[in-house]
Amino acid sequence: MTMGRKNRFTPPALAEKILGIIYSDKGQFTHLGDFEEMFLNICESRGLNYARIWYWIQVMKSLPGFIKNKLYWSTAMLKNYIFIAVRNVIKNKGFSFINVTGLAVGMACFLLIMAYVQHESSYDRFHEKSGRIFRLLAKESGQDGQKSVEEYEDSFPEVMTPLLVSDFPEVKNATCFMGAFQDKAVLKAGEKLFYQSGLYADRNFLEIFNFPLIHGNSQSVLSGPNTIVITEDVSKKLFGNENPIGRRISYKETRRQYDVVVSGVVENIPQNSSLKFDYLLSLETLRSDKSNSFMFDNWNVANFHIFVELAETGDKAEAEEKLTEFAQTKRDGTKLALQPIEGIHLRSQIREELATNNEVRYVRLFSFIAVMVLLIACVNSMNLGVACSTKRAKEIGVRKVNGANRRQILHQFLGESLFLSVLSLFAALLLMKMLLPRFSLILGVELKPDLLNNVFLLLVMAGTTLFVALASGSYPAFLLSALSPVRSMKEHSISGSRSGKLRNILMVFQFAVSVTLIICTVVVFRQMNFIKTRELGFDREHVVVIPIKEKETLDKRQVLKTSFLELPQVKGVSVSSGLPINIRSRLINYVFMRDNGEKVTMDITFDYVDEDFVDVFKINVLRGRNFSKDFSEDKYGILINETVAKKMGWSDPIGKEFSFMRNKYHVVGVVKDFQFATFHHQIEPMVLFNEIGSNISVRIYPGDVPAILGSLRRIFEKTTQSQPFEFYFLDDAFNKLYQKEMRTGEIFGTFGGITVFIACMGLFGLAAFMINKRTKEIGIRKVLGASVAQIVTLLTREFAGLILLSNVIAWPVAYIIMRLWLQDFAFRVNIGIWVFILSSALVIFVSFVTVSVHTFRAAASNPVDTLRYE
Amino acid sequence: MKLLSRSEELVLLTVMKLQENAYCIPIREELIKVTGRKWSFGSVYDPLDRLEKKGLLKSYLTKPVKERGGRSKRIYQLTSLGKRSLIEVRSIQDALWDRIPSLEADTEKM
Repeated sequence: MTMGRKNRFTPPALAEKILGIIYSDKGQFTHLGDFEEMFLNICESRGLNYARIWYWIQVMKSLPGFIKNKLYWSTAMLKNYIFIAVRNVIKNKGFSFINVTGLAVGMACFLLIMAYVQHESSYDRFHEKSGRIFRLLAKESGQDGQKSVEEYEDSFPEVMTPLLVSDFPEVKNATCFMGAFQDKAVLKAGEKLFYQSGLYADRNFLEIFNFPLIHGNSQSVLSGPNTIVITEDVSKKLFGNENPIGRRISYKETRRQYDVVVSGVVENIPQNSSLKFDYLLSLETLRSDKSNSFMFDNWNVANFHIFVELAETGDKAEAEEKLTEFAQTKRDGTKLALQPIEGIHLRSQIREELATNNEVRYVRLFSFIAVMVLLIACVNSMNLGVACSTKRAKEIGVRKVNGANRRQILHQFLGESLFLSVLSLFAALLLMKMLLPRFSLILGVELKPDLLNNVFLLLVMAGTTLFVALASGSYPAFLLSALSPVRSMKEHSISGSRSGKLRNILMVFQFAVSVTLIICTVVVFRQMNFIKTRELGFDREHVVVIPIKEKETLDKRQVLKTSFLELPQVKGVSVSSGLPINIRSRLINYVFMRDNGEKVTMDITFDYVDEDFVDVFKINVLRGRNFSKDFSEDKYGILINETVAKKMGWSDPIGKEFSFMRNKYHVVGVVKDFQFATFHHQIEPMVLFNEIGSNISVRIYPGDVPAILGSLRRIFEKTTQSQPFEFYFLDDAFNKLYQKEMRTGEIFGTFGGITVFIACMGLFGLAAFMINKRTKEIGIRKVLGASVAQIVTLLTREFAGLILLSNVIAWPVAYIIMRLWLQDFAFRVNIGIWVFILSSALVIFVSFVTVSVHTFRAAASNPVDTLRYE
Repeated sequence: MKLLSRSEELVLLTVMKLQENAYCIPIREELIKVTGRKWSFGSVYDPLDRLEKKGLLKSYLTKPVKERGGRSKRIYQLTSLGKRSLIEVRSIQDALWDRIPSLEADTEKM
């Protein structure tokens, strides 16, 4: 068509386009044609330029009328749409309530989890240079060139810090710091006294990390001895609103006491920081105290954390290589690595973390569940929307007859669902506010989303609202807008098979997800229960553990042990380096010789324990005997577990020789295999050496526990002053090992419950609708003699099939998910068919109760009333 | 049925006259020529649309025309109803004119 226009005068393209829009619904070809013909005529008579201007003038003349028209009609229609939308919400109060509640719950969950995900992934990103800050980690390997798989550690000697900056071009800056010797030290100013926790930090600390100073200069506040930087909160507590700079604080730990001057105040530490402190004491304070000299300029004392800032040009891998090379010169087999500070919270697994951290896969799992809950809520809303739409068919018919086109109706319905989803958003925000404390408890994070300043959350909110509007409104909108006016005027015409089928599919999906989550919950809790009740091979109840944290106490551990034993409530005391719940020292690929000369390679876990270890933890000695003071040769005696004996092929292992770290040991006894690692691991070969360690475990008789602890404390404090009395119970420590799993269980449980709730709300609405549609049928059936029971069965059957089907789908899905989850455990509970049956039964029961509200009412109704219904 | 308005009457007459060439542009030109007044496009489109809706005119599209950027013309034709209404207006006017003595003579007097 446009071929003929080549090399000819044509009207301005843009103007032509505008005209095209204006005349979109009025035979534009003819009108535009008229203009173009006229344009050519004018071209011939008055020239091209004049013609062009003329053409533009025509466009301008057409515009005002066009705009006025458009505005007039769109506001008129908008008014009508809003009116109808509001009227529909009010008219179907029940439906609207169910719809909005479902959506609000779904959105609230989703938003909460998004807030959580944001919080978790924002850790340590507030440092300006966070991309270039790394934590130094070391991995030791064993002697004899044997590799060890002990985890990474992050303790280093202080002398290393300046060397890092001077000897490695990749390292731009480095800081070392250590936690105070006590969890809470005393800060005293005047009469005010508070217990706070903090760090000893060197002068570079505030230059590398961004903890903004309110008072003081970041380069100098930590450079001198006897200076302290406190947080805003501490400053308020100690000095009120006065300027604290230059004020004196007397700082006290059990063995250390300094008079320090406040040199700076930092803003309170953000929640998403792995480094947490109430105060920073300058490292120089520690250095200038002679009693601490052993810590400084000494390569053998490693108790500092080191963080480095790489130069912009510095390559991480290269730096790691050079650092390892350097470390080898100090101690053979040491490997150094750099861990990005941003990865500490979600991806780090070192022996002792700065703060409790999380795992990225849990964050992912929670996000996935959040999306599922949101989807279910949308599906619900969509289902209800489709169900309700039959009632709207006539309205659409009338609109279409009056000239509405498909797009207008589409817009109307999408607009309505947007209206609903905005309504739900507000309800969701209210819910969020109510749920936040409970939610923070489950996740173990205190979330304080500041909605108005949180761009990410605002975007998520807007996105969710739009998504919900589209997801829940699009199908009814498309369905309804496609109706032919004639069909839509006949009632029930669109509850035809197509929408019914979709509705069923969606309902099956909803219930399948709900059942899956519930099965997962049950399995997780069963596994947890299994772990807690499983025979460990030792007794974890009634054991108080007192970790030794410094040298003086370490020297006096024997004294402590004997004094503890004098207490009548104490049954036994053992001083060992590990605890039976968690023995981690491990050598891998260790080669042993069997009796027949055959070589056996195995990974071996070992621990240093005293002769009371076996008794205190009630570990069974199967063969031979325990260590004993009566045998002097026991210094080179070892206890092995059954697994070692099996692997070595020893039927009678007593007295067998065992070379280990250049020493010859002999086996004095075999202990029954006990679970010395979490249930994620199988029981591996393990050897116990006869040497004392740094954990004092006290087995007490059950009874007045506070009194016993008081006695222990008194003895402890009398014996050693260098360390405060700190203790924990072995079974608490045991439970802590499974905290993440417990949390997963609770999350599954909570969200499983929520999905069931949402799904049932949908079912409730749907049942009401479907039964309402069959009112007359029920009346006729009753007139013809059907009993209440028959009618209830008839009505329930429809839903029952669907719910059963969703169970059938959920079973394998849940099975696969839980198989994967359980694979992490070496010892796992049998999933068991009854878990599935029970979970399904629960869901089926709840849904039947939901439906029965309607079925019974319908079945019990008087046919006279129902048949008169018109 | 309502009587035709003057503009409708003029348009109808023009359409009659132009026969096979009765589409917007010639109609407008003809109207301008005969009346000596300005006729915008809108003042032609409107009566054309209205007359078509009332059933006094019918229209068809021609083949695409090169001069019109490859677009068709919409050619209008009178329906029998259109013709009848023209006649009706005409007869009413004639009747009215016949009843008065002579307009020209009257104006001359004044």
